[in-house]
Amino acid sequence: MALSHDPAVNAKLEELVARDAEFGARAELRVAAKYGKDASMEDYHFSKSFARESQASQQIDWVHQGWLRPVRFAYRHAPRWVRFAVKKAAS
Amino acid sequence: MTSGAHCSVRQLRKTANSLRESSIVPNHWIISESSLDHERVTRTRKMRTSSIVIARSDVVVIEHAVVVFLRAGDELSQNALALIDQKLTEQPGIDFIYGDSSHGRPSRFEEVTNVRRPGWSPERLRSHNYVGELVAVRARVAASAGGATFLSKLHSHDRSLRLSEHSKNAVRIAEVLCLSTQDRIEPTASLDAVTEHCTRTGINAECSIDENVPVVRVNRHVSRKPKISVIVPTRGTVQDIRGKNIVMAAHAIRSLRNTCTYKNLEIVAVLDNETTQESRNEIVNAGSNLIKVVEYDQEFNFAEKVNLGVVNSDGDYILLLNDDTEFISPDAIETLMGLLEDPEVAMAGPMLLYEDGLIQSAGHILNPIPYDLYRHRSPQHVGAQNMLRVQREVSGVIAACVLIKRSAFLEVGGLCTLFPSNYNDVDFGLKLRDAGYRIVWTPHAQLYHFESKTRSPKLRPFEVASIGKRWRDKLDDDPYFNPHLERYISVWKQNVLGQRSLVDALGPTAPIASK
Repeated sequence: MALSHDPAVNAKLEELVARDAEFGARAELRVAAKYGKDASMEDYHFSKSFARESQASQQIDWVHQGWLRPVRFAYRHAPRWVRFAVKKAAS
Repeated sequence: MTSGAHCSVRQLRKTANSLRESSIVPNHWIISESSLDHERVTRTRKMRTSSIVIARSDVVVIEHAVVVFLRAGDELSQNALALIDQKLTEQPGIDFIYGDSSHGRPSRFEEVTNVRRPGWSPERLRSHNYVGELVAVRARVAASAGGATFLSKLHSHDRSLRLSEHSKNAVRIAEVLCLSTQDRIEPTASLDAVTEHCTRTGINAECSIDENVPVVRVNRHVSRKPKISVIVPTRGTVQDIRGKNIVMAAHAIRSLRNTCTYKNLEIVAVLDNETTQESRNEIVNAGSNLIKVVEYDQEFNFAEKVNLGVVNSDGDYILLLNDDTEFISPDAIETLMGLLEDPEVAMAGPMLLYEDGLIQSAGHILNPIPYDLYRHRSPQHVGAQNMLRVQREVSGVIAACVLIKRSAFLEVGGLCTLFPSNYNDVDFGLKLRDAGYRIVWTPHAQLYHFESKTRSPKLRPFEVASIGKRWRDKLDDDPYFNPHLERYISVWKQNVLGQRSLVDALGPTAPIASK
C-alpha cells in the first residue's frame, strides 16, 4: 500500500492495518470454532442493496394478493366469533 | 421482597399464590410495610403449610442469598426462580438479573403483551427503568445499596439505579420472569432518582424529564473542550439537495461550522484525484482556516480514506463526517462528547434523518444482519418501550456521523480496509465491543443524512462473506436484541410465530410488497 509519500503516515497506516488484522484473526478463530471453517452466510437473508426503498423493513404483504381476495371477503363478512376463532387458531 | 404499602389483600394474594406455585419455592417472603389486613393472606392454612417463611420489615438477609424484588400484585412466572438459579450457577460472577415480563390478562380474544427487553444497557437505565419491576440481585449487592427493606420501599427506577451502582455483572434472561397486572408496558422513570444517581456516581449532568413520555434526559456537562478532528472523506460530488446543486462536502462543512456551537475543530478533507478544481476550491473555502486537505490516490475505499484522514490529524477525538450530511442540533457535538465522558464508552452516534425528515438510523441492530432501527419511521414515533427517546447502548452506529475517542480508534486498528464500501462501520463497532468498549446512540443530537447520494449503495457478496467470516457469532447474538423478537426487520416487534420469523417460515420466495 503506497497511499502517502510521507513514510511516517505510511507507517501509521500499516500499524492500523496490523491492529485490525489482529482483531480480525481473533474473531475469525472464534467464528471458525463455533461454526466450522467452511461455514457460509448463505442461509442469512441479506437484502440485495442498501437503497432507500429496499433496506427498510421488508413488509411481507401476503394479505393483498389477488387470489386471496375471495377468502378475505369471506373472512371479513363472517360472524365475529368465527373471525376470532380463526385468529386464535392462526396464532 | 415485596412492598406491602398501598397494596390490597387481593393483590398480595396473587403474589402469594405465584410464590407457592413456583417450581423452586422461595425460602423467605419478606413483606415490608405490611399491614394487619395482609395477615388474611400470610396466615392462611395454605401459606402456613408451605415451606415459605414470611417475614416483615428489618430483616437481615444472609450474605449468599439472592433477593428478588417483586411488586405486590405481580406474579412470579412458574420457572422464573429456576431460570435465575440456573443463570447464577452457570455464571457465579453475575450479581444482577432482570428479564422479560408479561402484561395484561389472557382472554378468549386477546393475548397477553410480552415486554421483551434488551441486554444490559447502563446508559439507558439512566433514562428510564427499562429493566422492569422484577429484579434479582445477590444479597451483598442489596446490602451495600442500602438494604433490601429500604430498597423495597423505593420507586422501581430508584431501586434499579442504586442496585446497578453496586453490581459488577448484570445480565438479562430473555424469558418471561414476571406476570404483571399493570396494563402500562412502557418503562417508568423518576427524575429525582436519576438526579440523585448522578450525584452519587459523580456524573456532572443536568437532568430533565421529557414532556411527553416518562423519560429522563441526562445531559452531561463537558468538562473540557479538546480539539476534535473532523474527517470528511469525499470525491467532491455535486448533488441536488432541496432543489439546489451543491458540492456536498462543502455543504456539510458549512453546516458544521455555522450550526454547531463547538468551535475547537480541525477539519481534514480527504479528496480523490478525480475531485474537480471547482469542488476543491469550494471545500477549502467552506473550511477556511480550519481545513487541511489530504490527497487520496487509490481506488475508492471508504475505510482507507477515513484511516488516512485520521493519521493526518491530531485531535483527541475524531468526528467521522460523511459529505452527505447536514447538522440540525446546534449542540450535537457537545451531546456526543458528553457521552464519551464515560471511560467505557468509545463511540457515540446521533439520530440521522433523511432529507424528508423520516428516520434514517437510530442505531444498528443485528437481527441477525445489520439493520438500522426504525428506518423510514417518523421521528415523532417514540418506538417500542420509548426506545427512540432515550440514550442507549447499541451494537453499532452508522459512520456517517460518529464521535470516537482517538485512543480507541487506534487501539482497534481503525476502519477495516477489507470493507471498502459497506459494513466497515458494523465491523468497527464490533471491534470496539470486542475490546470491551460500549457504543451509545442518542436521540438528542440530530443530523440529516442524504444517504448514498454520493456513492453506489450496492452490497457486494464479498462484503457479506467477510462480515460473516469475522463476526457471525456476534451477528447471531446481539446483546441489545432479544431472541423473541421478529428478525430481519427494522422495528422492535414481538415474534408471534415463536423463534422463526415469517421470512424464515415461508422462505425467500415469500411475496414481498413492492413499493
